[in-house]
Amino acid sequence: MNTALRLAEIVTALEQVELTALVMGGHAVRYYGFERNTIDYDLHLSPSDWEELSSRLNRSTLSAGRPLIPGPSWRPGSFQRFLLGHLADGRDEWLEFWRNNHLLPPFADLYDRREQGTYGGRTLAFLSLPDLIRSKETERETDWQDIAVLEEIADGRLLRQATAGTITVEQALARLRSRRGVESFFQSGLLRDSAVVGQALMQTQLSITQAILLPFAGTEKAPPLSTVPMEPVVASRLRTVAPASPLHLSLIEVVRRQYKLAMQNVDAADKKAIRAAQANPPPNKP
Amino acid sequence: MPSHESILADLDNDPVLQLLLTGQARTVAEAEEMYLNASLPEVIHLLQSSLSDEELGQHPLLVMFRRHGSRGWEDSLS
Repeated sequence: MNTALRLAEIVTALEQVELTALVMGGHAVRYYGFERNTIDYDLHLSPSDWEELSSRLNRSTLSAGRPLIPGPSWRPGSFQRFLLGHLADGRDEWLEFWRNNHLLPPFADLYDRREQGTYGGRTLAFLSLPDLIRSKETERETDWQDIAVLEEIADGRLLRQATAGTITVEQALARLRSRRGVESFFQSGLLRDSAVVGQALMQTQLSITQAILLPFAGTEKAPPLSTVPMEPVVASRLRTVAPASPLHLSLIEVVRRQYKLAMQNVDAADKKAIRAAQANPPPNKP
Repeated sequence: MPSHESILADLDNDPVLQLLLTGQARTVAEAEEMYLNASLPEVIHLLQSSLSDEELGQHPLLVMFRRHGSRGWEDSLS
């Protein structure tokens, strides 16, 4: 059985014991169009199901009469994994659940924004593409390789939606992230109207998108404060550089790298804090 | 033709090569990534220099940023 069919089987088993979850991780990446190998099944569980997760799993067809073996987790309050079995090549097959992911908003918001689509022969619910990208802004270099492709896929969707009129050009531009996206929007003439670009610039707090839009906007107005602020000298040059010129494209990458390094530091600091807390647990109350 | 001395001086000043020679990086790609991660002060210095936008766009450091960054459409043709 291929892993997509296996995931569909797993979700069906979860539904039968009334566990609500969204698919994230490698299978969500594959669903959105990046064919890459994955052997784990990553899910974001509804927090209301968390306390009964283990008992319901063991009532499901996944347990096949034997309790599923929990694996180690260094975020036990937020993340649990269970050994499903072994693949033909001997590798472990893990089923992993997030109760709350430190990079993501609450489950209710994720669920409202979910995308449903066919995968493994049935309809499954996935993290939305922007949420999936956010979930991958971790320390791990492999996650950033996923992000690079997911950004291109997201920008391709935005171009189709803007061209079809299902979203405004301004809305699409405010979410632009990849170089291919910039080139496609530029060639389609959708970056030509500086007033529209300027309005999009005022809607985004992502420094990468701001770096893309600033030269096209021709505005003196400062964009909203970004989550990772741009270096002022870089921001200043972006106001005067020719749009889509080699220097502009380089400066976008300078800003992208600073964003990545900052987000990696945030994720690393979160892990460090958890490890420190586990090494020095608070004293027991008498 | 550049002299042996000037070639050696260039190599001595090559930050990527230094990372490789000192064992801090195992491959050229890894060395370039490390160099780019630490290069913001150099980028700022370049932007504050008298170099034109065209000259900056062809500067090896800024070319390296493009090469290691998000792919353009032409990359899929190579």
